[in-house]
Amino acid sequence: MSMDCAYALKFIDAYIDGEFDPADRAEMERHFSACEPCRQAARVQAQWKAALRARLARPVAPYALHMRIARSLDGETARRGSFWRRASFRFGPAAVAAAALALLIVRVQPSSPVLEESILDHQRNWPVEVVGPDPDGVASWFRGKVEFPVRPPRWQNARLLGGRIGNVGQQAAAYLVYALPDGRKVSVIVFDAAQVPIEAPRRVIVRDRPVYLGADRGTRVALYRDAGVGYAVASDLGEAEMVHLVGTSLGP
Amino acid sequence: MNFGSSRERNRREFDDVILPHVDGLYGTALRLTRNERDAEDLVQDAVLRAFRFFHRFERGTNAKAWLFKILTNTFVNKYRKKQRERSVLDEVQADDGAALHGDHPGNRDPETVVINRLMSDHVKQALEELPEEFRLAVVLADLEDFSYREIADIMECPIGTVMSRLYRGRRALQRLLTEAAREQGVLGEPEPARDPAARLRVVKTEPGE
Repeated sequence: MSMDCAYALKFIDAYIDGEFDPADRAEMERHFSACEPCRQAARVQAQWKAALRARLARPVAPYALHMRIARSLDGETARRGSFWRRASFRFGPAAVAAAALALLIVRVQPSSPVLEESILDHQRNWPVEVVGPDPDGVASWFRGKVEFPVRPPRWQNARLLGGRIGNVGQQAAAYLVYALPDGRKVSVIVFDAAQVPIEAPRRVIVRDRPVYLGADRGTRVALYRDAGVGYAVASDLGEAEMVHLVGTSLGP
Repeated sequence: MNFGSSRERNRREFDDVILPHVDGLYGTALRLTRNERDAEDLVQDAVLRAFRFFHRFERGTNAKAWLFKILTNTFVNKYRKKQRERSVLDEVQADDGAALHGDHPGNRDPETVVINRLMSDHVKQALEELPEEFRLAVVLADLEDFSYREIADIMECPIGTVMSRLYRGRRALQRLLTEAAREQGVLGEPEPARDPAARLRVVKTEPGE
């Protein structure tokens, strides 16, 4: 026998962890086939490893932590304001100030009917016609019922509870509802952006794209377009959290 | 003209590459700090550091390992407290010479894989009793699926050290869990060691070993 028990047992962990190349594996297995106690030790150690894993399921980071991280990254991005200084050097301060205003100023605009509908929808509790949490299952349920692809936003921390068919104006739309870990609700209307205008009092840029924000009666709504489809996301989250939520749902 | 696009691009890339690992970071931070508040602070600090040093991250290399290394360094520099936790390992040290077959409670018998009879809290508690570098090695290998090479990189130590930390950390944990199971009354008294084990133990405890 080329290997003794002391050696085999010393390297049992590396064997179980898949760290051995095929030749070393084969040598270990030759030893195991001749030595019942070592074989048993390897089996038991593999069970320990699997049991520890099963028992200590990875905790999910709290929603609040995701928000804190998003805000601190926002702060860090803003603090590196050298961009505006560099731009100012190139284009002159007045031009840059004007550009910055155009981006950041609160613009009063007429609101889209979907904004009001989204606020009302969020404040209602309706029964779902299709049950989550599988976004693909929910998406396929809507196929043929509305005339655009329904891709439910995928959020790490919000669970898709389900959806139903509704209307925005004369158009059929997909109504979805999600639950945040703290039990709060996020309502989403997916609608045909070609038929319904997307506008709201406030416009911000999220990941290079315009997102329109409005709020009323304690409900905040974000409207945006992604891959030609319109989304209205309603919740009672703060604006920073809302923007983060939208940012994480936008496609590339 | 799209102002801010390079900053936006950088941020978007960071979000895409790094943020999917926040849950894993948090899980490991919890095992390191042993409390939720410190774990959250640690993860936030580590992610912010990663963002500041993102330009040094080599695109296409292992982002997860890079991030866990930052987490570990941040922990060591800011969060590590003086800990009195050597005693658990003393027994493993004693075990080292004799951890063969039945001698070590963890190897004894499939029935002694007691984790499933214990409450998750007991398992967590036992893991948290392990000294930090052993605990971290076990968490990285068993819960986060890192290879020995990656763990060596994250912990800035040789692979041989990783192996010995894993070996000793796991045996200490198994011993703690077996004891906890006995205290909880879900496991009977230890059986006598088997014959081949006894033979090996005699060999291994000779002077000079």
